Amino acid sequence: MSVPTLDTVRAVTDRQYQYGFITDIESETAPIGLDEDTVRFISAKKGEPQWLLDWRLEAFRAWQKMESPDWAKLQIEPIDYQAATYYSAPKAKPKLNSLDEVDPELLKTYAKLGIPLKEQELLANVAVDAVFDSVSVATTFKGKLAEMGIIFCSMGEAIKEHPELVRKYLGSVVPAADNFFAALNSAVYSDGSFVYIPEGVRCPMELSTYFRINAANTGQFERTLIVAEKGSYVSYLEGCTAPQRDENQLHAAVVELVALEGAQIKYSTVQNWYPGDAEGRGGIYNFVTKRGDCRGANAKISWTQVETGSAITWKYPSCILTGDNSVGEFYSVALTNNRQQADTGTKMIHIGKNTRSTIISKGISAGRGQNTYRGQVKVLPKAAGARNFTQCDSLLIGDQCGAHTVPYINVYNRTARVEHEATTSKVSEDQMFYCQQRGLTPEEALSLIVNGFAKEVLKELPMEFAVEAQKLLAISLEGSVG
Amino acid sequence: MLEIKNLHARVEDKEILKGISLSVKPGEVHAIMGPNGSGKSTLASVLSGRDGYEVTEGTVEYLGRDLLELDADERAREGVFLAFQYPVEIPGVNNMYFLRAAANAVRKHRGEPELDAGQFLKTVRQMLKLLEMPEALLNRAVNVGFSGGEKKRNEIFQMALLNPRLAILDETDSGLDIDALRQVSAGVNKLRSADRAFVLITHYQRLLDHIEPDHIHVLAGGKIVMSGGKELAAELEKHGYAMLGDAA
Amino acid sequence: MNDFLDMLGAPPDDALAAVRSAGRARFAESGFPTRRTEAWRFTELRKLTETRFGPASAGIAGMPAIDEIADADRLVFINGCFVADRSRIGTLPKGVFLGSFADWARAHADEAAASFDLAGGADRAFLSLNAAFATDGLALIVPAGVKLDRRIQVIHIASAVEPAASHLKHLVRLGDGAEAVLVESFTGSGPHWTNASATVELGDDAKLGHYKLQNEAAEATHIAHHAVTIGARGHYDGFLLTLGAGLSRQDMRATIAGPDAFCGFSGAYLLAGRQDATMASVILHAAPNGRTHEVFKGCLADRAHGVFQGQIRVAQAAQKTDAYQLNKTLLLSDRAVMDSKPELEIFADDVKCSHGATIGDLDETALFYLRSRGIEAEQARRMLIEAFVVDAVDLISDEVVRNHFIAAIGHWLAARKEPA
Repeated sequence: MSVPTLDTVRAVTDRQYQYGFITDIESETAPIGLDEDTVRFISAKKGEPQWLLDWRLEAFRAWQKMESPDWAKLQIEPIDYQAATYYSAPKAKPKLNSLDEVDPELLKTYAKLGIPLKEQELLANVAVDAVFDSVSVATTFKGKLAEMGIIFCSMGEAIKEHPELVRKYLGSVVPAADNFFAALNSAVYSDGSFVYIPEGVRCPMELSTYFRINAANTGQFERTLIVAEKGSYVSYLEGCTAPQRDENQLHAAVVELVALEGAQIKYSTVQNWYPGDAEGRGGIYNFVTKRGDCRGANAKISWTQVETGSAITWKYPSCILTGDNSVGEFYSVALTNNRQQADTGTKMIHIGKNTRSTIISKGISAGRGQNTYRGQVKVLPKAAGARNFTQCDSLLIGDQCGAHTVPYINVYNRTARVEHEATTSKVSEDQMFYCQQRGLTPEEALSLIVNGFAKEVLKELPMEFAVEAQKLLAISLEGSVG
Repeated sequence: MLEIKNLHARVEDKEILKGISLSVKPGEVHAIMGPNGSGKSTLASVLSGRDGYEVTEGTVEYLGRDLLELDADERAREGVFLAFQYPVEIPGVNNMYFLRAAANAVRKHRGEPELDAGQFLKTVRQMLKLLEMPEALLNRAVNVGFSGGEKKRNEIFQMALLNPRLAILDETDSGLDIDALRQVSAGVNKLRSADRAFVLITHYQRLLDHIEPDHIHVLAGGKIVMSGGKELAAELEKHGYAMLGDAA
Repeated sequence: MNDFLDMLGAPPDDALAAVRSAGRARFAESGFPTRRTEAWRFTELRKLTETRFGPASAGIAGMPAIDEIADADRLVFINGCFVADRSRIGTLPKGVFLGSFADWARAHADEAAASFDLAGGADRAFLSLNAAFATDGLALIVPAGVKLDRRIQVIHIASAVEPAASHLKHLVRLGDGAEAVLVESFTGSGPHWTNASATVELGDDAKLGHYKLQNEAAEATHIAHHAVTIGARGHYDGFLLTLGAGLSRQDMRATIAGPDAFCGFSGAYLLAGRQDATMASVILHAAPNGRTHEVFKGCLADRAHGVFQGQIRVAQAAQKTDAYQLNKTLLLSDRAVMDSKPELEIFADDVKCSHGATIGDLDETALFYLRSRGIEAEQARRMLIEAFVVDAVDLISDEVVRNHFIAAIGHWLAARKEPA
């Protein structure tokens, strides 16, 4: 790239993630540190039944014996688990009177993302007027869903209202002691979402719609459980394109999906947690365990993720293809800029006959970002006729970043067919020049090229989010041309 | 030579052939026409012994033997040749090497001496000349990088080389321009003889302008709904398969 | 671990005493790698670690037939020792050394000592053992500008009645612009364990063809480590054909140290019975404008287990790297298992890197096509397997060696009755 464009664009390099609410509002918090009493405190605060407390304690004891994984290609300062607080009652964020009080930089970002004004107010925690009452809108949605037998509520509420369902499925996909972070989550999770779609029901809306309005009051240790009964369908979207800051540096969520016979779950994520400053200071550690089980024949689970935030991302949304003819999909765009590190991918475990999986991963590295695809495709002896296709592409922008591809392929059945392809390339000067020659700025050109690169994944996102995600990629890359 | 009686066959759970009867004598050319999905290619697959096709009822007798008892390669060695609609590309297997392996398998089965590389090349060259085909085809991997026309001509060339008793041409005319169609047809016509029978499977009448059949059968819904002489083709051309009406 | 060391016998009594004791110490510290060691997670070593190996005997009864390569200098090693009277070395250009590593080491003790890897760690356990026990091996030293016009054939014959080990140390050093072609073969009988370590250094503009056929006995164990350094514009063309040994692991650590260099490292594997073979490679691009071409293809029959772990690393300095890696495996039986881990680790942006892997059965449509032409199922399968595997062998640039290896594959296929 030519020197002038480099200079032009360096100008924006210093633009920083200028969002944050620092609250001093008193809340009822657990004492600092983590021991069995902390777990008991959390469970008691939430008024949980004995079985759940036992389950948490079991997870905690398992966690104590585990070590933080070091196999991922991540550089992490050791985390002092005893220095943190593991429970605080939901905090009220400071209410602002109008958007005028909101940080103008943040508003600029919202505008770039094309987020509607009303939603901007919600996201920025401006007190909304009567015309747009989030509570009433949410209630309307909830009523409509309830009519169809769909349960959509917080985990805390689900444990009170539907204990039999929670008990049956909680930990059935991600066991309490599955891995270090999942065990920690199981022991101390605060809340999360519960979704239950009854047999044959097609959930009439993206659950994002409700979710987004109901505000992203995401906790440090979220727990999500989605159960789709026979022949049902649900599309769920978590996170949002708007930047999110949280004072808890460590986020360790667990998401469990259960798709019974013929059911389909589409789970989309847009993750834009605070990535830290240009040197990576203060960014979120996002260590997530996401797994879906196609428990019945012809079930389908599809993960789509756009990961642009966090200082460190560690997540492998996976599919266990238990039912015959079941289908697993993983579509991912992960972008790392500045000092961000992402180690992400998927596991497709083929157990049933004629199970199929598709993996499309697009990694974009800019600045000093490190981006690793780590994935496993395993075909067990009984998975006759299993098929997998994997395509992992990496795009490098600048000569200080890294892109890594680490696939594991284990095949125990001759009738399986597993194909993996990966490429690494850079944004070519020819492409940039061509776009610039046609009048685009370097940033526009880069955005165009990167979005083209990620297109196969973005098209899997629900419509309204696809548009925002495209803009998000462009914004996340600001300052990386050169 | 070929006696098909009340043949029923299915793929997975779907019954495709629903009682086909057909009698083919040496020297005859039979054309089987019909709309898409009528079962034409299924018939070709069943006759050549492809896996995944289950015969549920009926018999197929070939030269006095039960054809359905034989494996695909045994059928080929007994003289049943299938010209594929979509000849598969086999990377890494040299065409010449493949042809000699096939020719010798057939020769060995017939009790004829196997050909060494030199003798085989001579035979191949004669055949290429007869069919007016370029020698360049031989040095590539089987069908790899061949154009659609080249693939079909390679099929006819193999047919000439393997000298079958019964040749089944599955949509050999599809995807060919008029020149290639003329060449392929000329090849087939040169191979017509008193002791060899042909079954031509085609959607269009145009192939029959170049290869004149003795009998035409119309297949619809897995059954032969109409049979006749070569004049039937012209009628179908004029009225289309719609003329079959309820019969389809 | 000391037990294991003691079993292997006394270290050779030579000028490398310091290396010997360091090797022993490193191994005693690290022990063997376990499946928790990432680079070894698919290699089951228990069969080796739980066997009580004694030292291999110096000679063997009876000499097996040797498959000679035409127009080659020939070196024969029996149970890890150079056998001069079975070898045949013609007149060599001035300054070239071709012969026994032990002989060479006597005159170059310091250089010889420096060629051992004493870094230690579980990952290098076999290198530590090799340093402690290596008796002999090939030394090929070619001064700058000298091109050897004859191929060099190195024949290793290993034979044991009771479990016994021999440790080979090769040193191949080509000066700037030097050229050579080296063909190694490993054969033998009985429960013998070969632990080989080869150090290969190519100067600027040097060129080496390095081809290896591992065809040891079904009861044998074969562990080999190749450390290759390639200078500017150097050209390394390596190939591994793996047919033998019950348990084998062959490691390649290649470094493209100078700009514009080429590393070709490919292989084929045909395994049956309960054979277990690992092919692991790390190819590091440390200099710009280098090229790597790596293709491994194979087939697994019966209860064979194959492992491919290939990593291509591109350092930040290695701009304009062009790297390609492919692993394709045919599973011929319901109980065969393949683990494949092709890996790219890239720290430079202006690179062209790609890799691919496939695992599956023979293409049914191709099989049907061949059968529909009258070719018997068994022969058709064999043709397709051969075409599949030979595709990799075709990458060997030396025609004589290529044909030699294709013939070995032909023998393997002919000896096998493939169930239809």
